[in-house]
Amino acid sequence: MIRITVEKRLSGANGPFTLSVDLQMRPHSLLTLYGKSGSGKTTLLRMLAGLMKPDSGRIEVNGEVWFDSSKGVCLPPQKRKVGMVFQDYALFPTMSVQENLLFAQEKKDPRKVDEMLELTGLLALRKRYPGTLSGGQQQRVALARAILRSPKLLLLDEPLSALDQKTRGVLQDEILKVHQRFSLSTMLVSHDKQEVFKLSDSVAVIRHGRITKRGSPHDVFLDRITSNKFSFVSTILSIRRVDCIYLAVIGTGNELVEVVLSERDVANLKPGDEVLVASKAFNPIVVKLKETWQEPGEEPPPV
Amino acid sequence: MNCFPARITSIETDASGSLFLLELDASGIQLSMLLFDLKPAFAEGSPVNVLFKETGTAIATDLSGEISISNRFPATITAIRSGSILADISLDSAAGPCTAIVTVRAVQRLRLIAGESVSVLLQASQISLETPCNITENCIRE
Repeated sequence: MIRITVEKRLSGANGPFTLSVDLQMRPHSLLTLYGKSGSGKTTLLRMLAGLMKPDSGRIEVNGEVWFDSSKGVCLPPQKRKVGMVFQDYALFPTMSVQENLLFAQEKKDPRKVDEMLELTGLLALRKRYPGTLSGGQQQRVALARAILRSPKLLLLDEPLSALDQKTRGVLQDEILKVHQRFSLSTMLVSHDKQEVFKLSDSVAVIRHGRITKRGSPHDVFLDRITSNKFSFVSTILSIRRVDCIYLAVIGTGNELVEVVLSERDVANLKPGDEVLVASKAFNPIVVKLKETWQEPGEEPPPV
Repeated sequence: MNCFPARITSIETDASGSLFLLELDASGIQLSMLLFDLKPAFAEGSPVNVLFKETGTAIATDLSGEISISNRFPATITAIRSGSILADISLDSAAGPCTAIVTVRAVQRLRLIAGESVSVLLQASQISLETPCNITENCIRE
């Protein structure tokens, strides 16, 4: 278990406030901190990483005490086994991709670096310098570097917010893949609800330094329970008028669906809005797909 | 989406306990609906919002004989907005305002006009529920 109880006085844009967090996290789970900027999310990550000292409290990660103000314990960052990824990549510009990864290792092991390069699809880019890479590629390097340290806690501070929608989707898949593959305990800061739904096991909403809500993404963001069988959270991309109704294009990841809306719906919805699309189990029709090799006279492919 | 505030009055279940038939009271209008896997928030006496889509809402006039559709309640047409194929019919009922989207041909065939009293027909399988909540904008109480 990861147990965090910390307090720290902070000076916010609207005057001083106290960050006071009491949070438990299951190992190997992905917890998202969700909240406005200035609410204390990044400060909390920095305190976990050992880059900032809480005024008081205790941080315990899987039985190991990283910080305990009552006993004067405060492990330095290098003793905490934390991997961190920031929005701005923070790679060394004068080192190649491979050198950036090697540098992160405590015990240099080029073979492990090669494995990681292969796993993250960076093998072909290993001799390149960060300045010659796209944002998505640089963030992939930053993620690989963070995981190479075999972190007990992976901290992701809005890692994808500078990237375009498509790259963001690809990297979300990648984060999920490495999180599961290495059984990491991951704490993510994000304010993209779709991202939160896609990645998180649980969400903690922070407001003015306090956790105001905690639960599954569904419990936290959909404060009403619906009876529907099929539902997904997505974003309205466009709404157009057709005859006397409206047709909305709604996107989730790479999938697009079109949904009929009425005038009354449209009064309350606009492109960019995050919505829950739901349907009863009675409505969808199910059609069996034709197996592509079943053309007349054609043999099935060898299994 | 149409929305009526209502209260669950009774719950009936099948032998396997996964299919439910709920009776609801929406300001005097009795509605029944089908549901799988009843969540704890939906119990007898619970206040709920009844949700149904405009395109699944039918209108009838001078209806006689029996029909398999479970829900039928009176309403008055308050406005008709026609396109070339579809028409948006605003209705007022005891449970609140709602809308039906039907074809323009149906409007002509039924000779629908504002002010007229009609029957609204709604299948039990087309109704959804949500727990009422302060922030919901679905149920606009006029």
